[in-house]
Amino acid sequence: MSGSTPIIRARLAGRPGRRSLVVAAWTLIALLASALPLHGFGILVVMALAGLDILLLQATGWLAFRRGSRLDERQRRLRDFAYRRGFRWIGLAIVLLYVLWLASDIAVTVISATTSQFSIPAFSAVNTGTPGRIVIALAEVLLMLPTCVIAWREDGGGDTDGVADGTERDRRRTWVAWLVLPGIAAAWFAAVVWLPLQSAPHGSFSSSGGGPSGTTCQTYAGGVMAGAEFGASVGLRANVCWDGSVAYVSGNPSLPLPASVIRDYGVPEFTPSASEINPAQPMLSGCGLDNLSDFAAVGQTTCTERIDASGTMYYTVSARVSPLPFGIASREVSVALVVTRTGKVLEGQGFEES
Amino acid sequence: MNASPGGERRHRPRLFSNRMTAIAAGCAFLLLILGPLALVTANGLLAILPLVGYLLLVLVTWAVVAGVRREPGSWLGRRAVRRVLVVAIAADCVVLVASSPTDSELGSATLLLLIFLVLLNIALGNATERMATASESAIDERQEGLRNRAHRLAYPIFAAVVGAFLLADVVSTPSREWAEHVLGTGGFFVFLELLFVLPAMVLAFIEPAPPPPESDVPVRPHPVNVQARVAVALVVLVLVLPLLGSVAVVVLPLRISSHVSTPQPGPVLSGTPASPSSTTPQVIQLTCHTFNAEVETGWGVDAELPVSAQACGDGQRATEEYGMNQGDCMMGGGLLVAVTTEQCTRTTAADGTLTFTWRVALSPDLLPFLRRQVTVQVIIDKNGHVERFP
Repeated sequence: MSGSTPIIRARLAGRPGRRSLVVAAWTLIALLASALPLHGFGILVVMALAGLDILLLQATGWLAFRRGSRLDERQRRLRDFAYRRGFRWIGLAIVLLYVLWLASDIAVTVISATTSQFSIPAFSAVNTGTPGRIVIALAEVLLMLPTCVIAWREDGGGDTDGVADGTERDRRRTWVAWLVLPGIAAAWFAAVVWLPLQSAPHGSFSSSGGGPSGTTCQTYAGGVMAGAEFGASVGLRANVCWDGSVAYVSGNPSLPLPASVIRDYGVPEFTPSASEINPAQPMLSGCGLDNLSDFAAVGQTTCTERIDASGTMYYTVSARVSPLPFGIASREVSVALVVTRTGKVLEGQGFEES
Repeated sequence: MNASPGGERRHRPRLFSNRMTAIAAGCAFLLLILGPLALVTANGLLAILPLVGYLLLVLVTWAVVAGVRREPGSWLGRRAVRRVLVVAIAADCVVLVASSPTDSELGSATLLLLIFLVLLNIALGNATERMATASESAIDERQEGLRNRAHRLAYPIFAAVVGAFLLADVVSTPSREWAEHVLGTGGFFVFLELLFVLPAMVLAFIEPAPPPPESDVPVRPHPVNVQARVAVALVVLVLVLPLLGSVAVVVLPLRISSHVSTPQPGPVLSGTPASPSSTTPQVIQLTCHTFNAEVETGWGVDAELPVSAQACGDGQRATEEYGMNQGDCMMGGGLLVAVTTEQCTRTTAADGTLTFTWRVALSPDLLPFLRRQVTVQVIIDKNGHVERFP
């Protein structure tokens, strides 16, 4: 192996150095596979992981990905053995990562319950598919497990095995590999900024209560993703009620109820207060609670409602998705839900099935 | 590597450390599956006896097939047979994914494909002598190298399949929904299959053909391997039984168990008679019957139509109390049988006779071209007397 910092490389090529790299890589994989919030900095974790991967590959002389014709008998045996061990550990790794996700999900939910008025699940009810961070963690496990096995072993070093022979080709390979990092960053940036928005897998279409008698209510959850699974999701969750004359969102006090609905609530000699008629119900009509900001920040979320003369409700959630700090290269993302006074959905991301 | 001297095998590799472990695992599996079934089924254990018997047969087949020793030159060890096994497993996996039911529950066809997959895996394990999972002390250096190579080749295949699912989860909304749906149904089993069996499949595919017998060595006829023949017979039985059961659903006579309660006095109704000349309140005595019946067909592969209803007559007309509504026509069910309601009506004739008709079409999942109509009818006259049931 060659390069400008031979001492550091020699340390990494040693067994303790290689094992440190393996531990560091798996720590980052665990972070990605957990439910701990990343607050838009997930791409930094991915970049760090990619850097560790490159160091691991160089420390093992790229043995896991070398052609058999360039290896001697011992190296070939070691490589094949690593694939066998790797294959056996994939299942275990997936189970452990799932347990980690479950435990951290519970922990985050419990912590949110103690620090806020409502217990908010760690994962959004809107984006119910496999989140991008899990996709990356699984891809990393699949890609790097044999290399990790090689690096962990006593005889897994690349330098001492003659795998990296110090030729010009190896020197070129050493620095070309680092070009992957800007490549990942550029692909991610382009995806978040320019990729068309995708519908997020919806979470629920459940009937719910609310409203005066003669009213039907249903909770809608849906949203859109910027940058596929590797950007951010803007979610919409609304408890919509309709009574044949008007449709409206209930459960969000910042969205006032129509006058006719307030009138219907009234009984002789008793006028309920606004908080009694329309109490805050974030689990039904939370604004911004279903945003997912693992790889890009989501800010300035606004939820607006407009009811036209025919009683049709237009509910819109808007937010800015920013891949970089200070709102650089941010894009406006909106999710709309239009429901008629008879409960028919005219527009909505993923609400077609209702 | 711990190779045995001379490359000879010291122990025959096994999936489990001993046969008892396999049996214990099988029993636990049975308990897990049948425990909840027994609890929720109306007739409890009696109703699931055929299923228990079939699963036991599968277990016995597993044990017998796993115990068959592969002999040099045996047909299962031939390269062509091994490759056919691999192709069959791959095809089974593809069909499992392609035929994933649209709802979240596993379909009956999925169950059969899984059983077939288990049998193929047993045969594969036998053909490769379970070399892929054998302990290192049980195989020689050549075998160790071969299975390591098999794992190296299997790894990118596995990564490509899982990677395709991950890619589908990212590319677009429809592909994401497809991936989530498939992983929630048959795809999950395919994932497990690949995770645990793919190296053995690759091993079976790449393992060279056994060397031909030397010409100068006199060929001695092999003794008849009775266990192998029994194993083949059991495998055939395991595969054929569900098909026979499917035919039986259509052919066997219906089994009807019904019970009509003795006439019970119904609620007493009082009111003012229609005639304006009389002001004396009139008391109307109702006669009611409770009907319980089960119409069953098939054994193991079966369908069941339960009826539980009550109707009353007041001398003028019969009326339904409960159990004769649209929702009650959705109570039919079956194992490996599709029950489709074709008619569900409740009518009252001019003479006050109440008629409830529930007609279904039964079609075995495994032989969907077979079909049988079954009609359950309840007729009560205006006095509450039963004219026909079921």
